[in-house]
Amino acid sequence: MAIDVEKLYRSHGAMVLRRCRRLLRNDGKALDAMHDVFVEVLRRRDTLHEDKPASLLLQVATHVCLNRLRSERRHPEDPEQALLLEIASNDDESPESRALARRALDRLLGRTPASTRVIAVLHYVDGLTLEEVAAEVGLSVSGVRKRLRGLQERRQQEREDARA
Amino acid sequence: MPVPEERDRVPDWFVERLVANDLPAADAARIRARLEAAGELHRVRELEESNSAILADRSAADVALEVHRRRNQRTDAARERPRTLRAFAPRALAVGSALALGTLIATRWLPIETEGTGALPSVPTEGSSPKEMATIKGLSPHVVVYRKTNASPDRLSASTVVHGGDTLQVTYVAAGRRFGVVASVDAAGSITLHLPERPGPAAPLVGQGETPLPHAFELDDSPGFERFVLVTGDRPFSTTEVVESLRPGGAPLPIDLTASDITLRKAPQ
Repeated sequence: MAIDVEKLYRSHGAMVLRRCRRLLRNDGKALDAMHDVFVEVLRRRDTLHEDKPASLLLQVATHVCLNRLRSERRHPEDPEQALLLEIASNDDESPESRALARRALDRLLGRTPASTRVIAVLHYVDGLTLEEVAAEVGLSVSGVRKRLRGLQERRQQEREDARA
Repeated sequence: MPVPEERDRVPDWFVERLVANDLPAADAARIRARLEAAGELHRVRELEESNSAILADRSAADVALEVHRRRNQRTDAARERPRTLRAFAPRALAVGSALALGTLIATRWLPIETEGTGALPSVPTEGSSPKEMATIKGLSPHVVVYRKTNASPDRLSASTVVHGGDTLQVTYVAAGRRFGVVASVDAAGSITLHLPERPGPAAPLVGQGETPLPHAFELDDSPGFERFVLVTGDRPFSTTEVVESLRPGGAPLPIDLTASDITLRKAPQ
């Protein structure tokens, strides 16, 4: 699928930039991340088959921003950012799921389920219901619930390990 | 992590999709009705104004230029990058294991399998050099790929469909040729060197049967295909000559080098 970056930016660029701004809280970093979102879309153009790509672009932007938050290790400025950083730092569970996370972007663009981290942001940060998240990422509601429960359990375990 | 309460406020996510005209009609009507009921239709206008401001601040041409610059920069960086950094993750298979695999494989005549998907078809292949014919009668240099399974290694043919995560072991048959390069190229045009693993002189070839490369590899999940190429010669040559020949529109291989290849189709993700 040929992707016209100029056209895609005109139709969805502002949306992607706002998404990056919200997650990264920094205009310069958001602009940088926005470019990378389009690079990733371009890189995987063969698997992008969406006539209405806003949801996919928002998910890719979330994925790109989570990776940046993970590497920055900044101090949170408020509860929402603390939550985001906690999600970003999550290791996406089991070895199997880590392998899935490694391919999260491909999966997003291939219309297969998103990584647990992206799901967590949609639910906990963006406020989508479980049903809405399921519809966005192409999973069943029980599948979303299971992913989030696993995330909660891992965080709990990490806290207990840290205390020990 | 807090479990969000059911909120009356429509998530920004859906307002963004509404403004992007990305929602199915029924969902768009529902979201618009919720916004109207909550007296929040101004959020739509605010996003539309934000769109205009952002597009006025940064032109599409500038963004496209920067995106393509980054894309090209990363593509260039990937080219000739050692295997461990790109298409394959090195599998924790010891050299000894790989060599053991090689010893299990009987030396025999194996037809070279090609699919002609890149810049190499114009290159002379097996049997084109009288000198080659004089090396080991009936045997030409070629590359063979095996997939590691729980049982015995599974030798792959050009019709084999492979998957991301498959563990592959590449071997070569030098057939008397002294120097060689093994590389692979995927559907995106990314080229990976396997022997040698870094740009430089072609590797001295060894053995009379199948010689396994030092490492097995885990295939990544990039789409399309993965094409493995063995280029051999009786004189020292450079990996650059091979890489250049694999690039679209690149220079053909010198006439005294011989190429063989096998292209594996990848299952769609």
